[in-house]
Amino acid sequence: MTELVWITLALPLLGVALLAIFGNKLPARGAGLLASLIMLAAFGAATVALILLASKPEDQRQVTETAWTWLSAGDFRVGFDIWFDQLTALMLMVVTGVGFLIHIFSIGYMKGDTQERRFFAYMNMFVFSMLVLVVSGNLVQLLIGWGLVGLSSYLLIGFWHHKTSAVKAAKKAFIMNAIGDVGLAIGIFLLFVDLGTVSYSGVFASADKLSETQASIACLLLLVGALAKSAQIPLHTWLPDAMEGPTPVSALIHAATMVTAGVYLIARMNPLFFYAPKVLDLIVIIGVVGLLMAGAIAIVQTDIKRIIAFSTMSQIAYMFVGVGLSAYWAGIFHLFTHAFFKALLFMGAGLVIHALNGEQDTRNMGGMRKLMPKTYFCFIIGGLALTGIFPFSGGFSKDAILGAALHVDSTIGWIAYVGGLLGALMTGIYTFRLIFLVFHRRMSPYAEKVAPPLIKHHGEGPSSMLWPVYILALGAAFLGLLQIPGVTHVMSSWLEPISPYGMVEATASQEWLTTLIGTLVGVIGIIVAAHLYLRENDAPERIRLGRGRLIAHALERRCYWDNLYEWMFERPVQWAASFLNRDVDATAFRWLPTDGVGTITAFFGRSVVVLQNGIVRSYALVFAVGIAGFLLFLLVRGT
Amino acid sequence: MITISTLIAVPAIAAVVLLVVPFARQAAGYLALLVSLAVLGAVIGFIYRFEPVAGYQFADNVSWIEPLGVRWHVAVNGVSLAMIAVTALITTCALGFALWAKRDRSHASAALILMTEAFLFLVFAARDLFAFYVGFEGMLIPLLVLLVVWGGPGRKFATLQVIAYTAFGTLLMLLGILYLGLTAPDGPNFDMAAAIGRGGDWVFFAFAIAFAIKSPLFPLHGWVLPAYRESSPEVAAVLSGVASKAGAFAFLAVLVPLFPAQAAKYAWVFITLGTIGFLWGSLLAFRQRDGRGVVAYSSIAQMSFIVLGIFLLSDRGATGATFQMVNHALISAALFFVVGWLETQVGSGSFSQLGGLARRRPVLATVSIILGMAALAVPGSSVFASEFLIMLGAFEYHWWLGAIVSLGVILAAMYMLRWISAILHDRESGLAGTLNPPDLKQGALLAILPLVLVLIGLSIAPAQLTDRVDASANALFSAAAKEAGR
Repeated sequence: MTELVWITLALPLLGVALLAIFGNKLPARGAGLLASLIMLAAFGAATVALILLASKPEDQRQVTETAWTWLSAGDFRVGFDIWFDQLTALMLMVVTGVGFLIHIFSIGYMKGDTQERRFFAYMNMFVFSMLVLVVSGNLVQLLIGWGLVGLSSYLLIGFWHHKTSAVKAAKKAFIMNAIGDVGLAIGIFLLFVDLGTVSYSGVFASADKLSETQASIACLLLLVGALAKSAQIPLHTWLPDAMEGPTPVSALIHAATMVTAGVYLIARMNPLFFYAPKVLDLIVIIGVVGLLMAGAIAIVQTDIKRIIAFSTMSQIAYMFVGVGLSAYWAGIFHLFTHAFFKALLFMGAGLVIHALNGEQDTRNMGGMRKLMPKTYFCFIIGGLALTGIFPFSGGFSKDAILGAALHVDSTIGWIAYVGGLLGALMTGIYTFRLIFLVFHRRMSPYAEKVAPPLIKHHGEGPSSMLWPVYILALGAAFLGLLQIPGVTHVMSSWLEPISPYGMVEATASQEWLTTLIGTLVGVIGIIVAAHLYLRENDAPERIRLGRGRLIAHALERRCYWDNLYEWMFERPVQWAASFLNRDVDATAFRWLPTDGVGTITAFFGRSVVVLQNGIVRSYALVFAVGIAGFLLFLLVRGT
Repeated sequence: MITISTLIAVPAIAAVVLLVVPFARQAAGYLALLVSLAVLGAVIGFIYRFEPVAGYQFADNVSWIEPLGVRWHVAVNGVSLAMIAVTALITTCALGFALWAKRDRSHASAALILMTEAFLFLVFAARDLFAFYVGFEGMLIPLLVLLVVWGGPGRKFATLQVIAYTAFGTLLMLLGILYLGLTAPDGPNFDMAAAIGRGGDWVFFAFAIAFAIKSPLFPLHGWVLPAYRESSPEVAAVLSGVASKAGAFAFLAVLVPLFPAQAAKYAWVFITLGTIGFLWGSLLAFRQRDGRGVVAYSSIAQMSFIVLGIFLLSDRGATGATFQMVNHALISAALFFVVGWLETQVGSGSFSQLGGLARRRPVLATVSIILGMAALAVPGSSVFASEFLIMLGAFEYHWWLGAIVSLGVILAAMYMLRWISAILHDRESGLAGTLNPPDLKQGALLAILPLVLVLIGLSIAPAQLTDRVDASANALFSAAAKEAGR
């Protein structure tokens, strides 16, 4: 069984190596096929590993193995490990399964790009990095995966590196994630100093030795890493800009897998977070604020991918609420369904963008439903799942989180419950605003000019792009049935053992009540969106320029976070660096000891000229005279 | 069996032969490369024979200048063997790059590089203070000639700058060595083992200033930018890659074990300067306008960081610092080759003349990205492993120290990403646009590739290195750590 996990891990790395070394000899299409086949094989291996794990008795479903000692210094030793349990197995399925579909989709999407091989090499590298992260059995290897997914994300956001905006976005993502990496690293230092170990098993076994303050600080530092990677307040500003990358990248990295790593981290480290209840409360608060803010911002965006990006941020905030409430299984369940419906929406958006020759502005779309009925149908399924309408998958998973909030029945729980329902309202509005703007209304002049000839020529897209969308649509529609309150409980019982201190799970009646309210709220959101956006009318514009202008201004500028960071960090750092470079370093350390001394001595008698003539010779002379004098001195003294 | 003395003698003799015998131009370059390859092979042999224990091995200890008590005493431990290995590798690559770049008077330039190698070996292996002094000061002479003869337009000023700084340090250290050798209880004795704990505060600082200049440690870094900017790329690679390591190595392997009481007492001075230098260099690297400036200031930052690691006087600090010395040597040398290659192709290293080179140049792009990511310590890289150890050590020393130095990682990301983008990204502009340089290939690539491969190897299994140096590094600081009460 563990061999299969190693194989799953090794396959994408093999893909990178093959594409890097033999890429030039492959035909352009071959690269995509090779990378996809590798992903299919990895998915197969991961599936068999999952089945083998499931066939074991429940108390043996956790296996660890060390391949080699990675780093050592005294009593500090870190291995290259795998830790295979229920959570790892599930994450492997998401990463390789959804990853495989997105690779297939990319074959069509990237067709004609001159850099296909590089693209697929990066994609395989991303998958490898993500697998390193999820199979790790210690915190240092987790950090390695953490950093490598950041690197792959940087490479893929900046894939079209001739675009200044793409390069800028890639750098921004990397640096914000570096801040998260540093937080995570300091957390690891702290745990090592306090507990003398960085392996999961060691930390979990001795976590009870930490005082609440120690545990809270450690968890806060881990949380910094989680916030950066999962684009949560206050380290979220990189995610919308990351949409500069090709759309399959947005689907795979910035929706389905990498950005949910923060949720994974908290769920994985739950035996530690158990000792930091205040941090868990903080996670819920950050989640609630984040889901409301991102949902509100999504309502006013005009770029199709940015709308979905803010939606992703909002949905991950739901997952944070889930894990913060100790309903780890619900958070992971939402991660699971979200991977399907969000990848679906991104790929649907990719089909639209493809049909419009790269256009991403919703104002240049409209009326696409007649031209792209299949895409429209799948997009509606994704939209209903996202809004959380019963019985689509997102509804079950989101209501599992909100049901848990109801079940907790504390102030925090009620904040989460009310905030989450308000968020569901916004989700309904922004999701269906997007659908109406893109697929309904009158076709924009741009779309009218560009889309019909393209679609007449290619159809809605090649089958390599359509089939993955269909499969994801199936998942988005039906995966919720894994966990029907009171009927099935695949998710909750599968994940239950990962938390030794138990998980929060709502009763069936609490969940059904939440489902009822949640669906109702979602439908209200859809109705509001229909009222405002289904037909051309000036109501949204009137609100924007009228009573709502202050709020609209704030939301359109993403609540001013970027401006804040520019004035707080970017400019001061640049200013300080320039000042130190130009005015301090050059004067005090480079001018003064030589030219400065020269100028001063010249003032007295130009003695420096002597030194400048054949300076090396004179140095060698000084050296030789030094040695000679030294020897002479010794000889004299020796006698 | 090859001894350490042979290892030092071979490049030295080869250098003299190359200077004296009038070889044809190319033949001299190839011969030098061959010698350096043989030396590298011998060093690998030493690594195989090396036992990962604390003590010094492969010792040669014979009387050298009898009446003065000066002995030819050379031996290696894990730390010095690591430095010798990286010196041998970088010398080989530097000779390869010089061959590709077709330097005029190539026999002389190759001979001087080999001579530098011999002096560096002596620095790393010397167990006698006099021999150490010969190596430490001697290596500057070939390097200065290389700088002043083959350097760029501002080479005279740069050479003057280097001399102004180093002559000062040299003088101080010479006085210190004299004092230690002559005050030995049974007549003059320059053996390092005999000098342990005998020096006072002023001797300690006489040594420390010399080492701090060579490292360089903030605020004695003024010579670095002109020297690195005016040298030819292969000389800059040797200077920043290994010559600078002589200073940091001497902190760990000479100063700390010889002056345990002072090292413990004044550790805070070096930790403070190291921290300031790390942040200072990182901030300034972010504002440089050419590749050499970035590498120069990132080197100042890294070397200051290494000195900080050494004076933590802890397992993580010393092992991490040794490892970081190896990593920084490989990266800065490789970066100078890339920067130098760009300068020969484009005619300028200024960022305003570069850009957009990732298009149609996959090899250049891949190499630059690997090096850039290694330099900014992307998790999983060997630099990450070594920086992780030093930062863990800093955190064990004081949590706030660990937190402050962690900021340097973010700054490193900022300046290295800026470097990558300046070369590779956006549209081709300036001279790079008009000249349309080819991809990195053959000669220059062969000089860079070994460094990149070793970096990748060390990323896969850094414990291969740390397991070998851990015991030696421990032995070097254990007395000082005891003095510090740790």
